[in-house]
Amino acid sequence: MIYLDYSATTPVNNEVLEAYTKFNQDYFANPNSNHELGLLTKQKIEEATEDIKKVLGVDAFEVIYTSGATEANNLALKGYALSNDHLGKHIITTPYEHSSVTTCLNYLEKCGFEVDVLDIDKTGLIDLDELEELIREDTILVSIALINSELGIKQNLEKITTILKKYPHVRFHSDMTQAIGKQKVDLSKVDLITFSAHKFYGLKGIGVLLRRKNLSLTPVVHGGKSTSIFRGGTPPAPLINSLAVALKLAYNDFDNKLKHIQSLYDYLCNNLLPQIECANINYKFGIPQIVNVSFTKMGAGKLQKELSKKHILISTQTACSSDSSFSVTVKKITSSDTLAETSVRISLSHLTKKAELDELITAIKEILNENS
Amino acid sequence: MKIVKVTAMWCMSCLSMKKVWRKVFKEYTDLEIVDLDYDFNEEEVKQYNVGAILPELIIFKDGKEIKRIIGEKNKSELFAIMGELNEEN
Repeated sequence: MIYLDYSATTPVNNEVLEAYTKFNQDYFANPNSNHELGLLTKQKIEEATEDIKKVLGVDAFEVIYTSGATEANNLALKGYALSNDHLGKHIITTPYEHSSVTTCLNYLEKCGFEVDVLDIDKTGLIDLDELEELIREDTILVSIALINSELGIKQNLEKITTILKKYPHVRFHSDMTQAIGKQKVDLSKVDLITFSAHKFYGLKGIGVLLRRKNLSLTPVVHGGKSTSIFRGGTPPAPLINSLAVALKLAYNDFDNKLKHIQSLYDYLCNNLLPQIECANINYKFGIPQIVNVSFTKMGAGKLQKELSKKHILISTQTACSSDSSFSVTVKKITSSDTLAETSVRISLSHLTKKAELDELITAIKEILNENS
Repeated sequence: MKIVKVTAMWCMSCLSMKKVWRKVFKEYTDLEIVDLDYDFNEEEVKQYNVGAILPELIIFKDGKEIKRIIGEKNKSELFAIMGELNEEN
């Protein structure tokens, strides 16, 4: 099998899995229990939390553990908006957010909040002048994902935070799910940061909301004692520990991993894809982990299915579409229905081998020939 | 006129359009708006043969379908469409 869908999820790192198994055996107690093993488990959670803060450079934040990025986005957006609606009910976002953000914002609209969606330019970046123009006295939150999952567009965090610094009544949430573990990011000027472990070779079922300590939230999940007053429930200590291990490993030897991915990206985009006449790379300014490409002679869904039969796994995207063969995101950036109907995402990892990309291109050529 | 508006909670284009709809539709006093959610009102949505792209607005006059507006439109585009429909009908 050739796996090229690393932006959807990643295979768990063996060290993470071993740490998780061992932790389950050694520290299985409820961290809320006041006996010896409970207290030891609690201490291990605290150590993992400190490790996470150290790796990400976020001393001024509380680490709130959730079931994943979707729940973290729910807590960041609904939690902040509902807790601060006395300050205003206006929120600003971008057209390139993950559906877990979109769904929360649609929900908040139904609750009486007003949401403005920013325009994007031809390079996929938000219009910074428009961002500043849209900020009002009742604007309480701006939510902008650092990296878009479909095209790999990376927004200019520094320019965004420079603008927002002028408006201290506006808080900034960034969905960093596609960024943490894949990019080095300065998180110091963001107020609410969300991500999940399974995007960087950790386990599924654990995510994080980093909350700047002076911000109030309304809990989304109410429950018993936890590591945070903002999220109830018994802390999943083994998962928390595994997230810290995965995060440390993700940033270990990071520059070399990124260099390898960049070389794969260059090889795919400059050497392999130009061999296929109907291939069109839909976005060329993004992170090297994501290649969004249209093969205009075949619908995205069909190509994905045919490649899957050959045990090569890539993805299609479905944002704002009930049909898996149409990408509204690609339509927005290319203005082409054909490119939107035929776009697929190939996502790369430091684990990807050059030979796997050769096999991918050979397979695509075969499929296109067989169906021409 | 009656407008059946099909949207989904996960649809960013639907979110983008809400402000435009508010601005445009408030200018028309005789509009009946029916909101359908693509997932939560699945059976009703099926009856309207909704396509691949959301949001989809299905416009009726005297019980007869006269127009479909699919995907994002800006305020001017939507005003122009509504103006044409009013003139024609």
